[in-house]
Amino acid sequence: MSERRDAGPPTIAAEFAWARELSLGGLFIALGVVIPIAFHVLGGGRLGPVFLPMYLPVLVCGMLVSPGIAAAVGVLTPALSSALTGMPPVLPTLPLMMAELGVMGAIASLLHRRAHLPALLATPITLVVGRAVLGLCVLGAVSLLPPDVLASLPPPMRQPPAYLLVATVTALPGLVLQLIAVPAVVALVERRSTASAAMSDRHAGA
Amino acid sequence: MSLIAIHDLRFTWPDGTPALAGVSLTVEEGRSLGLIGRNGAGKSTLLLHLNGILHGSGAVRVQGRPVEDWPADELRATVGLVFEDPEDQLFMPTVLEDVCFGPLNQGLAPDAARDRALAALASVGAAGLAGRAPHHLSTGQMRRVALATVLAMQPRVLVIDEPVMALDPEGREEVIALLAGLPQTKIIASHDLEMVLALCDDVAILDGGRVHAHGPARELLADDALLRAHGLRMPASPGGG
Amino acid sequence: MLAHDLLDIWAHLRSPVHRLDARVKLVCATALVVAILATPIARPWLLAPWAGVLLAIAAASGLPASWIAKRLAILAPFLALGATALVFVPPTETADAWQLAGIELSREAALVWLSVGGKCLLALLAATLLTGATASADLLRAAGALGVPRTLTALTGFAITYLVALGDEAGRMVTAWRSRGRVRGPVRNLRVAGSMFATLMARTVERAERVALAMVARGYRGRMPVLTAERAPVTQIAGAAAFVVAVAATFWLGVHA
Ligand SMILES: Nc1ncnc2c1ncn2[C@@H]1O[C@H](COP(=O)(O)OP(=O)(O)OP(=O)(O)O)[C@@H](O)[C@H]1O
Ligand SMILES: [Mg+2]
Repeated sequence: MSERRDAGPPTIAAEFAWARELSLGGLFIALGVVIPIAFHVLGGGRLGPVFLPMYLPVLVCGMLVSPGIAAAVGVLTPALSSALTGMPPVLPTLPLMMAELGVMGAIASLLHRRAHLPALLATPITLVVGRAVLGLCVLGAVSLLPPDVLASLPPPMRQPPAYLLVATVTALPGLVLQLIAVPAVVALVERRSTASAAMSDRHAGA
Repeated sequence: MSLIAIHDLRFTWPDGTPALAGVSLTVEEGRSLGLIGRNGAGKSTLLLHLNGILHGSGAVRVQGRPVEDWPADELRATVGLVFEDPEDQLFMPTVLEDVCFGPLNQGLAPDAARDRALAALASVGAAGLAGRAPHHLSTGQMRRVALATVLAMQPRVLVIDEPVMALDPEGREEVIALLAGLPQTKIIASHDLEMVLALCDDVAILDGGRVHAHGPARELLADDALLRAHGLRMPASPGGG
Repeated sequence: MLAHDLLDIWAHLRSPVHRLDARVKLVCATALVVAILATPIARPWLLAPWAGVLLAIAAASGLPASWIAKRLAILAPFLALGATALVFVPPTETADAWQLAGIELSREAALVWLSVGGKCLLALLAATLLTGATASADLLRAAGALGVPRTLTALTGFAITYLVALGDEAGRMVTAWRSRGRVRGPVRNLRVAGSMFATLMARTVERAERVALAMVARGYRGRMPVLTAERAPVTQIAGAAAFVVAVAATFWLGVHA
């Protein structure tokens, strides 16, 4: 997390970096609520589970902030969206998405910001890890259900691997979209945003 | 000793865009300076150097002391910066919390910060807005509140980027009257030369990251050839005509 | 114009629910949602008391019924999808099947559907009433006062503050995209939409950096300052405590009776 209380005067670059974590994280949570609505308007409702529009801002943000904030953004985005727009529904999707996006945000940040992996590589790894987390969560949730309830679930839900397969195949266009869009946006942003670089070191004359 | 003294300030953005190419300027206590010049002349970049947010090469002194030597919080309490777009400057959920942000960061107790904030809001004629969400305000109201957020920190110098942009004529007049009534030293960057003429004692013309002229506002703003050479036009004289 | 009706449009009403302290409302709503989610999935009728309480609160809140209904309607496709899935769950031998319009449905599956759908609806109703009858700024301050970490409230605060502005920006882009006429072919269409959202995100990063500059210029030093709120009236605190106890007792009775 970015809140610091340690002694000693922080440099202005450090202050700016902390402030940027919060403002960037917060604004991208808002984007995570707004972009799915825009998708809904554009595509008439069917496109959500196919294109995973909420993943886009969470992944991009993950590549731009520290792991703690990235995880918080991943958890808060679906929660706020669910409370304000009703999507994703509280059961069963919301807890799964909070776990998946929280982990994906943190992984994206660790890979790109800490390990300096290019976004082009970090994105597919993050997507795979995200699907794995989703699978584990479904497995965990299913193992918690009483057997009579389990028997009454639709067939794919009864078998986590099958659920994961269905969810992944449905979302294939979305995963491909992330694969292309996330590195592109990250590159665009890193090229255009110069303010943080300007604060971090001194620049001499023209 | 000048309140603000800039000597040979140079700055290039990290993407290689040169913005300041040797700026030298002084501002005396109690005076107000208008910073004018075409788009991309470097006005906004220069303002960011005045309270230590950007560091170029050369020297920026406030009250005779280089900005690098100032404790960051004292410098920001001395030089208050009002940004161009109030939407980016008002980031808290309510107006009151936003205006309290600076005073609380200065270490004031919540009650004292609240008093300061309410006084600052009253001084810009926005006392009734305290409980509102900033982003539901009109542009004119946002500008007043943005000014209050900085006034609440009680700075000695007010540095304001484009104070009347996107205001309707009436809102513009109100903000100009408001600024005219503030006693602080002011540095105002703007394309609205009529406002600059109304508010500023002195004017500096910036072009290509350099100061091309610096002098009394009445003289420079009456020099049509000079203004035209730097992409500017003479303002209508205040008497009309 | 995409997000303008998500927050604060009814915060100006003066109903008894609006006048309650935000912390009290947050605690009560949380208790209700926890009870709703924890209700055994095979016994959807146990959701009835929560539905009753929420409907009573909705009536007292003065929020327009049509607005609440519109909020809940978003779940309709999701519920319909679940209902369709029901048809594909064959009744097990032990379970008694339900006959509906000639189709044989598994009773247990139908109960699960009712239960999951009911939980989603009621939880959304609770969230809708809470955010509809409370100013978002008060809700945030309440969350902070109740011990939610400052980083989380700060992030949510920025999100809420910029929701409308970013919604407007996205709305303008959607309008521009539509007015330029549709491009033919799904791939090209997607490319256009993709570059649109990419631009939106890049602009948002720049805006976030301007916000961060403004924070630093006003003395931000790594810690969001908070204005402490005054204490809630004792009667309201007692009321909230009584409400939580009543919810817990009802829950316990329902599960164990
Ligand atoms: N964040 C940034 N990153 C890179 N270059 C920048 C940035 N901000 C400004 N510049 C460049 O620096 C130069 C000076 O810009 P600046 O914004 O200071 O001009 P200005 O006089 O304020 O212009 P305007 O009248 O349009 O506000 C321009 O060439 C501009 O493109
Ligand atoms: Mg400018």
